[in-house]
Amino acid sequence: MTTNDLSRAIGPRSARKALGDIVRVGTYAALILWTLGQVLPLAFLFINAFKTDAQIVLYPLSLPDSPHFENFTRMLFEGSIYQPMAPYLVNSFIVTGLTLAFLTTVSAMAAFGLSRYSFPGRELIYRLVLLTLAVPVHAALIPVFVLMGTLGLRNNLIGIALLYSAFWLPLTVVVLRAYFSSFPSEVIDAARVDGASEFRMFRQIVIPMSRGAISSMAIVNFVGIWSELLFAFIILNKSTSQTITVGLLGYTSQYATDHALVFAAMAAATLPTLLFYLVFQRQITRGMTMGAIR
Amino acid sequence: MTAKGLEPTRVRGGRWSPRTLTRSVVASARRSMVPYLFMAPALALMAVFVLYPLFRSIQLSLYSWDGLGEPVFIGVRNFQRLAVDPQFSLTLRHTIAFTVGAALGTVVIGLVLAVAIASRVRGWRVFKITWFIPVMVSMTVTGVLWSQLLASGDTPINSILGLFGVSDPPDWLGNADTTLPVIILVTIWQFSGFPMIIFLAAMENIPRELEESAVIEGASLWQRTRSLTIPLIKPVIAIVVLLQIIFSLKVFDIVWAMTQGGPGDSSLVLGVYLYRQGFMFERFGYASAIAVVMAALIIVFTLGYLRFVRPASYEY
Repeated sequence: MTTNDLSRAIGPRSARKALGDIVRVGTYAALILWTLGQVLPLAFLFINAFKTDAQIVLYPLSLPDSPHFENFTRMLFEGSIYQPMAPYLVNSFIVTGLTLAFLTTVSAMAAFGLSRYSFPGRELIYRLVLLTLAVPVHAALIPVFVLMGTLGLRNNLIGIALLYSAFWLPLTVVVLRAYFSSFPSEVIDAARVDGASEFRMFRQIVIPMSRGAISSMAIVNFVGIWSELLFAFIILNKSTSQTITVGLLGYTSQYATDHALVFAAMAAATLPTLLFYLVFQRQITRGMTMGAIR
Repeated sequence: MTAKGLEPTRVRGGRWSPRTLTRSVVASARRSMVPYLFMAPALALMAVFVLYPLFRSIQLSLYSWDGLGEPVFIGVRNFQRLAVDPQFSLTLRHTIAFTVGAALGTVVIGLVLAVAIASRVRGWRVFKITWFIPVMVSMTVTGVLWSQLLASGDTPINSILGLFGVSDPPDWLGNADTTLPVIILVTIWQFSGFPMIIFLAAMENIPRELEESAVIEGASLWQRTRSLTIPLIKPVIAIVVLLQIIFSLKVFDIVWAMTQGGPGDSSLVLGVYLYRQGFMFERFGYASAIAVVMAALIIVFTLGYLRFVRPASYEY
């Protein structure tokens, strides 16, 4: 039935308007419903983190009788039936921080080299980067596991940071290369005339002027690196070197469950990226868009 | 200008002395080294951690190896076994079902959400922020959280369903018929915000005048979306579909956190099967063969897609 048939069926203009209103209200209700569906599970996560184990099991949808902050201190430092989560959190911050430092430096340099100089092999290198972009990490999983053992880098936080840098590199290079290609040439030429070496020019002029693009990329990468599971899962097998995603899985693989601690741990794993998003919302959407639309 | 700044050694008295010659060669060699120096750290990282392992995967797929002893060369036997491995064909079917469901779901819902925000519905700023929040949560947390929400008994989802009169809900993650669909739905729950944000960026690039003239001509939102917005952002839709498909073919975290591929093999997908064969059964050669098939599948699909769909750049 087309709109025309409909209006004929319903009759005069006022009826058609009423129909439009119904559709509009219905659509809006659906949007509200989707919003609730998106927010409530996460609200549930944070609310349950403040309830006791018994309250979570008996009254899953209730609010806490009083906020049980001790869930967090227990989760972080005691762990009761689990491992205390504080070391995992610290490891996650170290790994993410190191990776971002390596990745940002190395990929900004490579992207600048690729976009601002012409030299033999440039096309080939760029193609190689694009190729690795399409290859799934799984394809390298087993050799990486063996290699990290050979290099003595299993359970080594610097080692996994190098590994992450290598796998996050292609996308970061591709995006930053596109950005540097539109970097104003006059600025670069002026620096050269002033006698600055290429590296000094890059460090003292190009980087400061590109802070926006570089930090957008770093912020997007932060979220992915913080959440990484597969490599961490196989490379970090001592609890002293594991990151929070691996630690959280450890909380679910036991026979007994202390729900209060599981929820507190989930809250701890989620808060950093969530706060990051609320603070850097603009950069995150910009960074993600730069990655998809070039 | 050029002579002074760039080639200072060549002009002295119009003659080459051995010393100036060396200096000029060194200087120009140094200059031509610059781009390589810029790229050296990146190339080193990629060579060691990405390219070498990829090459090794292909090599290992031709061996039988438990990770400890000597690898034994067995030619293409791993691939022959894969071809008749019923678990592998099951895994492929699950992966394809997951990919179709998750990619289609996130892209369609993402498009609807983007249209809603772009049409500036009341409260669009709040919607835009909240609809993207789940994307920021790690898949591991999402998996663990939804396992809690969906556990059997008087758990949240079942209690809510009870309010609507569903008295005997299935054991969502303990029942072979429901696990995969549930995981697909949870993935859609988490990732619809990603296509949304990309589509939205593309829609904001559409020239205002086009939109405005369509409004003046009295086109409804539905008509404008169908015959203006969607055709104009088609290249972006094509890219996002590809991204979502690649992402889904590689899925691991969310499945592992929710079911580890179970119960039985009911939610086994490629990533999980590879992990199982490699790290639970220590069949490194066989797992490498799975990795090679998986990479080949994704690369061939990507190339074919780019060739036939041709998500060309925008033109307005």
